[in-house]
Amino acid sequence: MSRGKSICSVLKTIRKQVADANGIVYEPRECHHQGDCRGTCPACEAEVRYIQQQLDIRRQLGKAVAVVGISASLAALNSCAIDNESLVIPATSVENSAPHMLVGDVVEDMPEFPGGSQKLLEYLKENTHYPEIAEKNGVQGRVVVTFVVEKDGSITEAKIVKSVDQSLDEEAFRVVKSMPKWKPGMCNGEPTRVKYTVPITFRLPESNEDTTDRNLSPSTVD
Amino acid sequence: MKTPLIGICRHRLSTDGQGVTTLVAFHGCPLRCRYCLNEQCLRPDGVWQQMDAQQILDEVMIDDLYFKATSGGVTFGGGEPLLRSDEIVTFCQLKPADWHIAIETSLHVDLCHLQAVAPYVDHYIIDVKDMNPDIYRRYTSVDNSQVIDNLRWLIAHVESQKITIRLPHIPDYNTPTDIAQSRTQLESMGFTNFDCFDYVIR
Repeated sequence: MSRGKSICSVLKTIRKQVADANGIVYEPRECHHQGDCRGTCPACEAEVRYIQQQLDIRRQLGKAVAVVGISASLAALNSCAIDNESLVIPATSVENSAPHMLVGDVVEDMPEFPGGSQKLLEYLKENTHYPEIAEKNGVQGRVVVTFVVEKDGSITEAKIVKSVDQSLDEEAFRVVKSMPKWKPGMCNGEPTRVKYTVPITFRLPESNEDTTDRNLSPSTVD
Repeated sequence: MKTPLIGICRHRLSTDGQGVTTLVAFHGCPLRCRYCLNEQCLRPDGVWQQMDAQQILDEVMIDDLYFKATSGGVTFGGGEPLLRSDEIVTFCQLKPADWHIAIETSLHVDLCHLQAVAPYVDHYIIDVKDMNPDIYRRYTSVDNSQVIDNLRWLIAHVESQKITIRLPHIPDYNTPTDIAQSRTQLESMGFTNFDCFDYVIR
């Protein structure tokens, strides 16, 4: 393996470890680039930004995020190993990665909700309602929805990838479909289709708390 | 204040400091080493960019996630980074707390520069070259008494575990015996971590 590819492999492993430690849906994109690289590329950088975006959302919700030292064991690597091209890091099925995070080939800029991730949070919080039946039955949990941000910023191909209950799934699906147009992702200066994932958490208030407001808890999205 | 740089090199995996690091290399050096690795640091046209501390931070921030996840960070090198101690201090005051800071230096600078950065540096990589004054002068064209004074200050104020001493075999300038003598002298001063290697002449 060349030096650039070795670095790329290590960085992918770090991204995967950080994503897994924080419950972020992420599979490293399969790389079809032939020949050497510099260890990173616009597609890899877009993956970093996606993970950082997801971490920011969690921080904004007051959740603890685990990043510091998550991949500290990689510090044991040494430059000689890389120079000798003998560095082999378990690449967590990078070669056979499952569905791509990105629809476009190489995305330089990820799509963005109008006003940024904080506005996305606010939108979901204000527009998601706890289904009565789920509330009555005490159903709660996290629904994960994926969708494609089209070249014109519209939302298509919304799909529930982690289901909790029919009523919660339907509400999460509805609110995702209701979003205004996004700023599209960009590839080589051109708008491109990008797949995006949003987890929506439905949580009922504790029984000893004031239950007059039975809409979503503050942690709509994590 | 803008500082001349010869380059910023990303994704160095444990090359100069633990974890994923970015090398920020400054222009300018008081030494004139015969086998200088980054000769552009001495040439007037060797400046890659002029940046202030905030601009350097903005440039390296792209790898924040990797730095934090691997306990890595930024390594200052060059050239002689301690000549830019003001900018390094400003940078360290602005940077995220979890980044590690390493510095690759010859210590051939006024003590005040070393004292200024000491509160912020997590690891020192000291390019001692050779402790023998004659060998040092022949190879670098300058005297090493200031280096030895600064080494004494460093070991009196910083844990030895935070310091790596580089003792290269420099073809035509020193021998394995010279290196062993340098090491013995440095061990008697209290240094414990040594990186002994051969200069590869290209």
